[in-house]
Amino acid sequence: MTPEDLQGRSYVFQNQHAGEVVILLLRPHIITIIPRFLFGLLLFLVPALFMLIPFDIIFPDFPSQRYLVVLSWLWYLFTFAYVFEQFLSWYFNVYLVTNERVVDIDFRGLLSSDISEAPLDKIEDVTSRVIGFFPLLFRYGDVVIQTAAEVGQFEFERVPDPDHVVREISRLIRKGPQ
Amino acid sequence: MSSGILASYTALLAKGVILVILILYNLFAFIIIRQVDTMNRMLPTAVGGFLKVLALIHFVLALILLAVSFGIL
Repeated sequence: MTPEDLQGRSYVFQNQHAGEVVILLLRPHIITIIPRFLFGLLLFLVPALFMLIPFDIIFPDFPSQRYLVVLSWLWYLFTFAYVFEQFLSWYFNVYLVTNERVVDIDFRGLLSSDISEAPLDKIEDVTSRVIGFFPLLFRYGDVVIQTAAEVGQFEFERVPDPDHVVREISRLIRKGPQ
Repeated sequence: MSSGILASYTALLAKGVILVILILYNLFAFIIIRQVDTMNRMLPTAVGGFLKVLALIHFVLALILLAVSFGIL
């Protein structure tokens, strides 16, 4: 998702202040989750490889076919869960820039979450960092935000068009909190 | 001990191990539903309902697998 995708849409989030508007909603560039999806695709192929092994001949007295069916089903469920978890992690670990603050919503593991925030007027420095072949090719990188707030530094990792994000945050800081 | 008795003991052990794994997996599948709920609450989005349905389908399939495994193993 690019920062421009927010135009015409409004997002809400937990602990949003009255009158607070989300200006940017950022996730890591979608290209960064493709390797994990490809790994999931490889996992889907594993049971097919096991079908090639003649378990009936190796273990003639063992009802191996039924076990293979159950284990294959379990494997497919597990693979689905892996891909689903990867998607959830990508989709819900977001960085928000509002007209009042920057917010980092971070889900760690299955049931824990962490929200870090810093008011715009506490931001001291915003820089972008694009390093490497793929970041240059697909125009994504990190945005590093130094603050005087409780959380000293925010890092928006692998977000699309980091220069645009820096410009937008700088513009909001100049404009002042509303 | 004949190979038939050994095979039946092995099958019993394998069945026990698989059923325990499946029970733990069902717990995991249920936790995923709670996780999606928490995420949807934190950041409501247009696809939140769809993600919840996917998590529910995953849980139901895991439950069916557990029930089927009790029957066929």
